[in-house]
Amino acid sequence: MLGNDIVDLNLAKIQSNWRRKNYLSKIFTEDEQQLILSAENPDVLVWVLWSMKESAYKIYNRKTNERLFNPLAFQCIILVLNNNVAKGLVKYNTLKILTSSELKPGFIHTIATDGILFSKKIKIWSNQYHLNYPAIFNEQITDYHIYKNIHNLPEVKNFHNNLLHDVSVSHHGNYVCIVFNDEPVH
Amino acid sequence: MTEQHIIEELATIITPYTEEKSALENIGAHTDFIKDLKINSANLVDIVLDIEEKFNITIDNDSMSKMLTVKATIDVIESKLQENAG
Repeated sequence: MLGNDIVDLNLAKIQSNWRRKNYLSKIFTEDEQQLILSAENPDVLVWVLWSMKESAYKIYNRKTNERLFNPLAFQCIILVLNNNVAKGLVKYNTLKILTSSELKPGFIHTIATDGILFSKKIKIWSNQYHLNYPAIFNEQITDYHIYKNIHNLPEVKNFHNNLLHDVSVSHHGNYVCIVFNDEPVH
Repeated sequence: MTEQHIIEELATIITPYTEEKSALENIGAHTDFIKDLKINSANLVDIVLDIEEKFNITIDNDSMSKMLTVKATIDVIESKLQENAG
């Protein structure tokens, strides 16, 4: 399964004051708070860790159909971190999720998978956010079609053989990202 | 404190975090913070912190994990107020 989460850094700056008293301790473990506070750029690390948790939660939610707001319990381990990428692992109970984040001046985008490796078949489509983004996707990605199923969840189908593909959609501020697997669901 | 009173306090707390004005005007027990009010999940933390300050309670992590609807939030507030009183 796939999850993804985009954070528009300009909007996050206006929308959230993570320096507010008790904010960090409500959502981040001691280790994560330590990472943030000792980081060269704490603002970036806050949203890297947050998007790791969110993208992992999206997989959990799809797997179990259970909704919860428990970011603290999604524990992040960062394995690789530089100015452009972060790679890590998110653990929730027995669930282990791999994450890969792209760090840009305007946004942070994390993709998550519950596979043992990141598939080379994972495709990313991103665009400036418009209400009609599914139509724009369908126009640009001619082999695939995105739509909402009866449970109001996004699905991607291959036009040629009607097979379903794993997909995850994320929107924040000016950005929208659709991540899907080029290989059909088995 | 009546349920209606808590809902009114919640509506005031939530106002800066939602642009869904009509959903906010029609707020009730079954209002969903994310589905109906389109609140950004990072702002749910602010709402939890605002509730702690307003009602003078401490919300533990297990309670917070349920706080996705007005109903669940009222239950958490009421149980914490009772703990304080007891």
